[in-house]
This record gives sequence, structure tokens and C-alpha cells, in this order.
Amino acid sequence: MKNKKFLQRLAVVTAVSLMTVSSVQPLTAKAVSFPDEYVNHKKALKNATLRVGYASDEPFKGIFIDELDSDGKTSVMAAPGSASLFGYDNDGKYVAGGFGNVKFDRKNNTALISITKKARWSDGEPVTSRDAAYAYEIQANKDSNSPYYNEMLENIEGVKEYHEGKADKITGLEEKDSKHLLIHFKELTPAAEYAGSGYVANVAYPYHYLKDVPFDKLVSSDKVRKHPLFFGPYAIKKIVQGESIEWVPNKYYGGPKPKLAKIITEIVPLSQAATAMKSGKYDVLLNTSSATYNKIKDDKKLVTLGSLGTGITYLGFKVGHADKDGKSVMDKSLPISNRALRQAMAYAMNVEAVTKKFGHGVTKHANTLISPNYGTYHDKSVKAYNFNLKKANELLGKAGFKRGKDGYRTQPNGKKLVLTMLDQKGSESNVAARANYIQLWKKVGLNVKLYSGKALEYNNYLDVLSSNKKHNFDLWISVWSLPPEPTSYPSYISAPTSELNYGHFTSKENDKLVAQMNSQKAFNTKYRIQQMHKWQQYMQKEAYVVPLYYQYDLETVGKNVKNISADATDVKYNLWDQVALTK
Amino acid sequence: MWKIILRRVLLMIPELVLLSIVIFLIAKLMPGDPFTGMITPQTSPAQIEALRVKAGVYDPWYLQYWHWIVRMVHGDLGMSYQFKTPVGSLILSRMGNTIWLHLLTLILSYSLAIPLGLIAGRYENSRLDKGIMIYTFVAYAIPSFVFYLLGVWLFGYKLRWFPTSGSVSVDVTGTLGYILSRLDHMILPACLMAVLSVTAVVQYLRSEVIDNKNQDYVKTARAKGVPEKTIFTHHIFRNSLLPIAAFLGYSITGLLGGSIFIEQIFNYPGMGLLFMNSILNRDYSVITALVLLYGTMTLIGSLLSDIILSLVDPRVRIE
Repeated sequence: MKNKKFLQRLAVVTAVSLMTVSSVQPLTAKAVSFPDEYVNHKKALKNATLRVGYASDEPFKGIFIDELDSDGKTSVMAAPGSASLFGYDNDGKYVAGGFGNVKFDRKNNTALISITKKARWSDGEPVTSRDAAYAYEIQANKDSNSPYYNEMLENIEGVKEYHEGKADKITGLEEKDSKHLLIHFKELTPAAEYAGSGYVANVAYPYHYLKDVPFDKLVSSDKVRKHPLFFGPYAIKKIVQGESIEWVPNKYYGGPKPKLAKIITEIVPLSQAATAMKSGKYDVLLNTSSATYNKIKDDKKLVTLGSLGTGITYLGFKVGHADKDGKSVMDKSLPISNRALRQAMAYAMNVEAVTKKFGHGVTKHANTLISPNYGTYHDKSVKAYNFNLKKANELLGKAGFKRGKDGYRTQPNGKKLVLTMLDQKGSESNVAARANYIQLWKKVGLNVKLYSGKALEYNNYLDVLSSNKKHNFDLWISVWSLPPEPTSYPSYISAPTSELNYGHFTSKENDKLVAQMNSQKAFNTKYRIQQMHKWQQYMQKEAYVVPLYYQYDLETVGKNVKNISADATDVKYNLWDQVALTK
Repeated sequence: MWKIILRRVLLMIPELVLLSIVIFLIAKLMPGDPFTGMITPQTSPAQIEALRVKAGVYDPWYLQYWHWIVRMVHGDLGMSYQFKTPVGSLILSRMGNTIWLHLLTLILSYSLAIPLGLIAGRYENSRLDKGIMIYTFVAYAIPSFVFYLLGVWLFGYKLRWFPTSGSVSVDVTGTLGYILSRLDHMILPACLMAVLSVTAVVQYLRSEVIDNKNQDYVKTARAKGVPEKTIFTHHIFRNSLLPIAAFLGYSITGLLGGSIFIEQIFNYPGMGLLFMNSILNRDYSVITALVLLYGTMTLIGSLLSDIILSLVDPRVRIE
């Protein structure tokens, strides 16, 4: 279940946290950086209870098998009990040292999963190869209705037949003995070696405990929702559905002895989060929003930890449409297909200053579509589109977009130029951000109107965004939440046949780079990183999708907490067994 | 009267069928469906499409409606797309929370409003009356969420008298501990809601008392030398409470409605938030079940009000 982040939903929401800006004005503010761990040298208390709040206005769903359904909150709140099956490095590549290890055999297209003896469920039973195989069966069985059954899974031999009900077993899953599972793939690519690629599941589920529950009843069963088993440092003692979870040490845990007597994780309403932390009600606040951070940043008893997420907020341009086979086709005749126009629009946005000033500094201006969270795969040498009205004007002038008498520019062919922006209904700050961008575009002579004249409700917005219609809008701002496998963006979002390629850009160069980064040659990590860097440079130059900013994942902790790290809720090793409380 | 009640109950059936069709149609007309936004780098469009087909999203509305009705008659309200749990048990779990909270609110609200209304009416235009009137106007005008937040800050965090969120503590032990914890979690939201919800009852009661003070029967009683206190307690108050009794029917059925603000501010899983989130997430099975429940309760509330009124006022008969 630790692989929540692997299964993170794609959130297509506009998420620009800004306040109303009624006119274009100079904006200045200091950048903020966050530590990712808090060092506390005091002696740990014995028999302490750690109280953890998760800031949200909605109850958690409480489905403790992510493959069946994942609401994010449940997975993060389940972190004290969850543990990754495998370990991996800062780039997301599997390394030895977890509760299990995975070894790939490129020659035979197999992966051998070995489970160590130290891995035991919270009922004392050992974690077995059957439990690891069961995770694939849950995802693939038709009756479990998992939304995460996908083509990557079909890469395992026999999965398709099992899903279609033609076979009782997945032939590609060979249980060598109780601790070894050999997976036979149709094809192995370099992505397989990375967490979140979809090749190997970084989880196991207790088959001995769940085998009597039919697949169609799993999601609603008490064994999954009320009394789930874990092999992490803590086990659930009690759950109040949607509200809170009480954890006690898992006495069969194979790692270091947990330091706390009890952990209580509970939902704290957003409106109360800051007050609750200031009053000391919680020791840790997960999912700290920028607004909450702004209210508690000066409190001497608290520290806010942060790590940049894998997601990205971006400006997208719709430069094509999908043909009847669903394949993206570029519309070269569209004004927005002109690279200079796209680049000029990017240069005219004062992203850095606006987000720093009004987003309370919890964002980082993005220079590429791949976040620094991906380690060496992020190309820091790529230059961001920094606010430069002069350059924007120059680019437009050179490309033939001349200013008319009304101050607005016309197309190179002399026709009127009006660009349509698709926008999603959101907070006041979203309205302000959009208004600011439109005003700045106006400053360089670009007339940008809203689709339908207004921001659309989420479902409506998504309908329009994902429609295959020809030229119904030109640009939009949105967010991608991405899995930790570094090539997930290029592979899934920029592919010509991908339904997620909302802008429908496609080019031979893009296809070539994407193919190279997952070619057999790319098993050489250095080569793979090189291809990824090339792809980032290419995308930045073409500006089909302009990266705007990366968001920090924030976690606030009291100074009485020891061994806490922002990584505790991230994809790295599980660290909850180390967390302790001091005076 | 029983015949009339039976007739009213029977009449509810076509009304509810019509209501359910309208709601079903409106729900389907909304853009999006429960699977909107589920296509991600981790999911396959083909699988999401398969789930859509399996859920009958593409069936004509009348077919979907028919399937729903048939299932409902068999006691199956379907599965919630959002929570992946049977709608019946989902609603029941939320209903428990909401009913207890609103019942406590109702008791507190009437306990506060009835004496205030009677006092304000009896001592019309006195300082006391003016004070009560100012309170009711302020209670009516103040944005509820601001008041609730203030209440949480003051009684929850500053004075630390009450828990600030949830419906029960997760680490309580024993049945008694559980009941006490539930009650403890309800007191603050119930008190805050009660304090704000008195306006209508106080105002009605006050004007009823003022009206009744000048009625002929009061004058007669006074002429007969009945003491002033008795006139109020035995005559005026009793008659003034009649319209309030009529409210009660709706109030009882309104117990199920929930309150979005209070539930959100206190993270109290109730019907209000469930209804709102179901609409936002296009959780059709929950939306239709809830609307039907609310519709039924409204019709029953109206019937209850009529029955209560006929019981407390012999002049009123259901015919």
C-alpha cells in the first residue's frame, strides 16, 4: 500500500494559488525553501502517543487496497502500517535491502521477486510469494473492478486471459517456492527497473487472510476496510470510518522496534488545521496547504518540512485533434501551432513572482516538465521561460503577428487573432491568476478570451478538455500528478495515441526520443538520463506544454517529534519505525 | 382520520415515482459521470471504458431507471461508485450520525426558543423583549460558518471544553465510554446550531402570544378575575404553541437533512456532506437514493404536521 504514490490519480485541476490581482503590478517576494527532515537530539519518550492530523474537508474512504480504489488520503493515513516491498534510490530505481528484492533477467524477460524472512503480517503469518502474486490477481481479476487494470499489466504472460476469464491462473506468475515469485514478461524495458512503472507491484496482500472473500466483495469487505493486515511497523487497532485510525506497534514487524506506543491518525478539517497545530492538538500535520503554512510559519514550536512532488502545473496548447482512430493529428494552420506565439505567451507570464507573492512561496518555478523529485533525470540546465515582455514582443513581431489599431495583434495572414482559454472553476485565487495572465498577454497584444465566457465546472471542463473536437480552444492551465517512474510523462502523456495528450501535439522527434529512453540501449542508465535530458530540452524549446511550477508537499511537525522526515509520506523507505516523541 | 392518512400515504407513491424520474433525468443530464477524470498514466482508457459499460452508463436513461427500480424493490439501492460500498449501509452509517446530532440540536433549540418566544411575547416592548429580538436578528444574520468557526476556536481550542472534530474518539474503550464520547463530540456542534436556529420559532411564538393577548377569550378570562399568570400559562401559551407544533413534523423529518457547514467544519460524517459530495462526484446511486429519501421524508413531514396539529387543536380536523 506504500505504493500509493505509484498509483496516484491524475488530478486535472487548475491549481494556482493566488490572490486577486486587479491590475498588472510589480510583484516581488522571497523564495522559500523547506528542510526535508527535522533533527531532534533529545531523548525519546517511552510509551508515547503520536497524534497525526491529515488536513482535509472530506472523510477518508478507508479502502486499504490501493489497487481496488485509491483516494490518496487513505494511503497517506495508512503510512504507519504500510511498508514498501522493495527499496529504491533517489531516482526511483529498485535497490536491494527492502522486505523483498527484485532481480530482472533481460535475456529471459523475467523478474524474480524474493521475499525475506523478516517480512511478516501483523497476524504473525509470513509474507509469501503467494501474497505477492495475489496483488496482481486483485488488479487483474475482472470481478474486482479495479480501475488500475492496464496494458502494462497485460505485459505479464497470461494476464489478459485471466482478466477475460479464459484462465483460472496467471500463467506468467510462477511461484518457485513460498518466498520466490518468478514473473514472465512479454517484453522488458528499462522502465521496469523503476518503482511506479507498472511492471512489478511494490506490494503484497495477505492471501491467507483474504482468500475466502470473493473478488467482487473485496472492496466492501470488513477484512479490507475495518481489519486490514500490514507488514509495516504498526498495525491497526481500531478505525472510525472516514475519521480516524488508531495504530499500535506490529509485534511481528521485521524492522527496528517501533518507538511509539500508539499513533492516532485523523482527518482535521482545513479550517481548523492551523489552529489545531498551534494549540498542540497534533504532533504532525500531513497535507499542509500553502494557506495553513502561511498561518503557522512563524510559530516557534513548529517546523514545516517539504519535498518537491513529482507533479507539475503547466500551460498547455491545443495544436491538433484526434482522428477517428484516436490518434493525434496536428493542425498546422492554427495560429497557436506557431512556436513563436507559444513561446511569447510563456515569456509574457510572470509566473515566478506571482506564485511567490501569492502562493506563500510553496512553489518552485519550473524549468522543465520533469520535476527535481526525479533526481538526476531532471535536467537543471534547461532555462525556464522567465518573465520577459520585451522578448515576447520581439518573438511576436518577428513571426509576423503585427499590432492592429486596437492594440491587439493580427495573424501573419492579416486575419484577426483571438485565442480561447479553457478554464476550470476554482477558488478566488484561480480567478486572480487567470486574470493576471490574460492582462499580461494583453500587454503584448494578445487577445485571450475564456471558453464559454466563463470558467467551467470540473466535469464540464474535463469533457471539453478531453474531447477530440477540432479547434474548440487554444490553451489551458492544469496540473499533472505523476508516478515516480521518470519517463511516465513522456511515455503516457506525449504519446500520439494517448488519451491524455489533450493538446494533440505529435512530432517525429518526440516519438524518437520517447522510444530511445525506453529502448534496450537505455538499460544503460547514463544513456537513459541523456535521452530524458534531450527530451526536456526539446519540449522546452517547442513549448507545446510550458512548465509553470512544481509544488512542495508540506508536512508540519512539532519540535517534540524525533526522526521525522518529509520522506515518511513519500516513496522512499518507510521511516515510521524510527519516529519518536521527546519532551 | 385513518382513512385520510392511508389515502395520503397512497398518494405519495405516484408523487415519489414522479420525483425519482425527474431526479434521475436531471442527474443524467449533468456533464460527466462517476468515471470522469479516472484516465491517468496508471489507468487504461479501455479498462475505464469497460467499467463504464459494466456500470450501464451508456444504457438509455429509462433502462437505467428500470434497473434501479427493480433493484430497489428488492431492497438493493446499488453500490456507491465513490465509496465502493452498498448505498444502503453507507446512508445508514451517515444517517445515525446526522439523526443524533440533529435530535440534540432540535431539543436544545426548542428548549431555548420556546421560553424566549413566550417571554418576549408576554413582556412585549420591554428591555427583555428587545434584547431577545436583537439576539434573534443577529442569529439570523450572522453567517453560520463564521459563528461555528468562532465556537470551535473558543470552546474547542481556547477553553478546551469540547472535542473539535469527528463523531467519536478512536481510542475510547467500552460501550459506556463510546456513548459518552459520541455525546461529547455532539455537544458543541449541537449547541452552536441550536443557538443559531431559534429565530423562526421565537418570532412566531412572540407574535402568536401578542395576538392572543388581545383575543376575546383572554379578555373574558380577565373579566372573570383569572390571575394574569394563569391567563398566560393556561390560555395564551397553550394556544400560541399551536403553529409551533405544526413545525414539528417538518423538523422531525428535517433531522435527516444534515448540515454541510457543520459537518465540514467539525469533520462530522453526516448526510449533508454525503449529498454534496455525491453530486460533485456524480455518484448517481447515492444521489437518487438520497433524493428519494428526502422526498419521502418531506411528504411524511407534511402529513405528520397535519396529524400533530389535529391532535393538539381539536378545531382542526383532517378531512
